[in-house]
Amino acid sequence: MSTPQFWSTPLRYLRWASHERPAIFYSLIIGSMGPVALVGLPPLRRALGDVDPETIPMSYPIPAGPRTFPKGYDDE
Amino acid sequence: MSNIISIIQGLLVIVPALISVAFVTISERKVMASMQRRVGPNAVGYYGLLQAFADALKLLLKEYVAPTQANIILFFLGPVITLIFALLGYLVIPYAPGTFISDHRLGIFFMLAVSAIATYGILLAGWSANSKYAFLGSLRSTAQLISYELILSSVLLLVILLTGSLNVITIVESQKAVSLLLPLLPLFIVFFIGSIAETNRAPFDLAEAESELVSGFMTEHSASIFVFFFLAEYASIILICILNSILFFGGYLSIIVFSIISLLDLSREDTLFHVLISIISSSPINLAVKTSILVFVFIWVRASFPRIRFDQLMSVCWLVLLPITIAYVILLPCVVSGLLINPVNISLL
Amino acid sequence: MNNIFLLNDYITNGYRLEFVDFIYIISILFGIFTIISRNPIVSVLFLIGLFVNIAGLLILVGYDYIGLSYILVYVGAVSILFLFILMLINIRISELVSETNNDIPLAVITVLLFYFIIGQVIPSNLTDNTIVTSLSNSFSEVYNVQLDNEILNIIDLKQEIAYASSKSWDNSLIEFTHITGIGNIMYTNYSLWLIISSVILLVGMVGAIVITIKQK
Repeated sequence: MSTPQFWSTPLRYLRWASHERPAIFYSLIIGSMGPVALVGLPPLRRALGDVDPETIPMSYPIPAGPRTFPKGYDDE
Repeated sequence: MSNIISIIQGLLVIVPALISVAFVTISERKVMASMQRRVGPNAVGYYGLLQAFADALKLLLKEYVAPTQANIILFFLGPVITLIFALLGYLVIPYAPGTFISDHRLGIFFMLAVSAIATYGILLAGWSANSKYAFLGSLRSTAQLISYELILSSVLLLVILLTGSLNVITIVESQKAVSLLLPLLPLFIVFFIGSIAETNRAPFDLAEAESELVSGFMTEHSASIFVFFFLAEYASIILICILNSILFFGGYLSIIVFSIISLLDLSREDTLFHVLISIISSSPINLAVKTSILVFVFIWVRASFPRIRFDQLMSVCWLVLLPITIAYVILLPCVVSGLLINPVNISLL
Repeated sequence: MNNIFLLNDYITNGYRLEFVDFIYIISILFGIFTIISRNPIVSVLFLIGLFVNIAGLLILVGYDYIGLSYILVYVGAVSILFLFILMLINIRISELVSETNNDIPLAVITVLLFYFIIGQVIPSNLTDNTIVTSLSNSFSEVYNVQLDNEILNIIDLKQEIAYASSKSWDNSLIEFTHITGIGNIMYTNYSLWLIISSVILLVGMVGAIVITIKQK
């Protein structure tokens, strides 16, 4: 049995890789779980009842209604 | 006045460190002896307790010999650099709440930088001795140190991600609820293997493989400068065990969370029980016990495993440990930001 | 009273002006030794000493993050590989002996010319906080008085540069570890030094190419 190729027999190649190159195989799996977690975890978190925190304000709130500008001087 | 105080502080840390180095050497010899069904040193002092001091005295009284064609300045500078920078790492370690020399906000970073410089001592000592064995030993040792430092600093990166600070005390205190061993168990194993390799211990002690290279980079060093190397080696073993217990076992905090027990019976407030718990839950004895267990594991590993080949050493580093570490470096930030559990930096509050 | 000194020591990290001058002198000496030592390994060792020195300066001044990362990156990674490769190459020191005394006057003239031109443009009060720089500035100001009025209308240019490189930056540093503040200062108020150092780097690169090129 020669070394299996990935493109012709993917499942057999994966089984071979998990036996012969376990460190690289499983670290690829663990590493590719990262982006999956990034996409999959927030819906799960919301489904379990966690509420998204408010976004941190980056500027001052603009007051509603007309603004009043002071006229003249206070001490006059 | 402040200078005198800081000198006394330094001595209060360095002298116990050196004494503990002496006792670690004895414990290594005794433990390995009992693992190999021998007696071990038992002549000097009770049960051979003073053997290390007798050895040190013998080495200090010996005549030192420098090779004729050696670069004399670098020949003596190498061991000195190694010892000084091995001891400088003790500067930022918290032994108990409020018991430390420096509460530097970049403590972990400082330890990394110091251990980076300590590599030069080995390189210089091996090169300047003008001997093939010493030179090959120092090259092997340096290649090993550079490679494994990569793993150690990548794991440190994740610890910093989970604690949100480079300060050692913040790292310890943020493990009050649960020690980082739980979320980072695979990385602890990687870190421990890396720290065995970083201290040039068996089975990774290729630098002083006596069957090939007499005794590695310190072949030509004798007498008191050999003592420097010896002290530096064991001081760095203790230091890296302390670092292991700080990063993954919560340093001076006790591994059992006593604060939960004290929460259970709030009726008895100021009893002896509570005082005892508050003492036990964060005391230097916790750090000492954890570090001693880790040092024992170092000795145990040395007695158990045969030495591996140099190409195996390098391939273990680059093809096994590094992919796993990088996989976790990708995974953990994604989990942290996916679950919105970003750490809160205590020092900024 | 003692506590006040302790507090002072805590805030300044033991910083004193004399230490800075001391480190400057040692680093200049290390730089010279890096160039003139015959043995390449000793030369790299002096270079490492220079890096450690500069890292010490940065830590002393208060930029401990940059200082420590300087040690970690330059000393711990870059120059250890340098040293490693140099040790593996079998170099005979006798082969490295070459006649370089002819180039010394050229080097001196180049340096003088460079400093003369730069000294015209850069305001002298940019870094007047050490003994070395104040000494060197005291020489350059003599030239300035003569030249400013006669040849070129340099005063306007100098005023513009002095405005750009003034010390109005000190409120943009909240904490010394904030790298954004340091980068902000480096690319605005101290952009002159950045340009000068980039010119020196360019000269070094061109020099390395000129040395290694094969002349037919």
